Amino acid sequence: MNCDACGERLIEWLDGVRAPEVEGHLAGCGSCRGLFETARSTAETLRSAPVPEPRGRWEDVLRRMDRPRRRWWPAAAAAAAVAAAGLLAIPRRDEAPPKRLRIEVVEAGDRIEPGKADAVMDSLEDGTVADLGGPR
Amino acid sequence: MIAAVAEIETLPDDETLLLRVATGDRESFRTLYERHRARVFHVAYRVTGNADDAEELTQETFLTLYREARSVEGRARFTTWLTSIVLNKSINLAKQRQGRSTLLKRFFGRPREAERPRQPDAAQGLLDRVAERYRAVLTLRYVMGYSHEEIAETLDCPVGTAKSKLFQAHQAVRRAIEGEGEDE
Repeated sequence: MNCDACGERLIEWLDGVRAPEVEGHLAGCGSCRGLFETARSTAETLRSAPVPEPRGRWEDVLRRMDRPRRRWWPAAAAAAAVAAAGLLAIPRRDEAPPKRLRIEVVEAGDRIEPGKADAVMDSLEDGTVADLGGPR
Repeated sequence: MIAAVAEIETLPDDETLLLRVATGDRESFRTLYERHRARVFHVAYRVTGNADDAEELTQETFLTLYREARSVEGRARFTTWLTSIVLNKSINLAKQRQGRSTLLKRFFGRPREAERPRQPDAAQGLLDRVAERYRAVLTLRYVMGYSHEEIAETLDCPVGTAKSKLFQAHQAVRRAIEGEGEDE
């Protein structure tokens, strides 16, 4: 009998079944003997485990039964709505600036006269059109 | 004395009580609670290793029983069904606690006071050395004294698989004792 075959008999050995071939293998195999002895000791320790006394009372269960259950879906729906609103509010990276504004900038840049650059920038920021000078 | 024996014999069995619970009978529910709460608590305590967690899990298990009483008729024996509920809840909680403890250990070097196990008895000291799934099967077999068939029913697997899980649990204990740690 090899170690694998012996290991397969561990549970029945713990249940009290003694087979000569298993006993023979255990007598000559320290590794399997160690496993079997540890398992026997484990079973004994756990079988004699003290039984702890629960402190919980029926009234505690009753109180929780009558408490309205918290439902998860309203909170989840609210969180999803907030997330969706946040996504919509974030401008997309590939979103182009309004076409009209871009054209105006290019045209304005063409007509900027020396010393008028600040006025151009101000006009773009506050939305008004400055007198840029130059030919129209 | 004879009257007392007669009274005990007329107490309805678990399955009958469960049928009544399914109709909303709270007195039957209370009888089931008083009859099984110690067993449920013990399973939770041995798997989580924490009495406060076990109290909470015991309540949750019975609340689940009350809410799902209608859906379990005839599916399994009452005790194995109830044990499977508390076992699953306990394993899940123990995993959460273990994950949190590992994080705390990583950041602070040692578990916080509240995370440290409390004076475990010899049995708990042994169970705490192996993963939750091994604790579960060892608890069922040796602490609760379940047969291999009852373990199989509780874990919803064939008897051979239940025995195999028990064998693996013993191997895990052996590895832990030898100091090799356990594989996950």
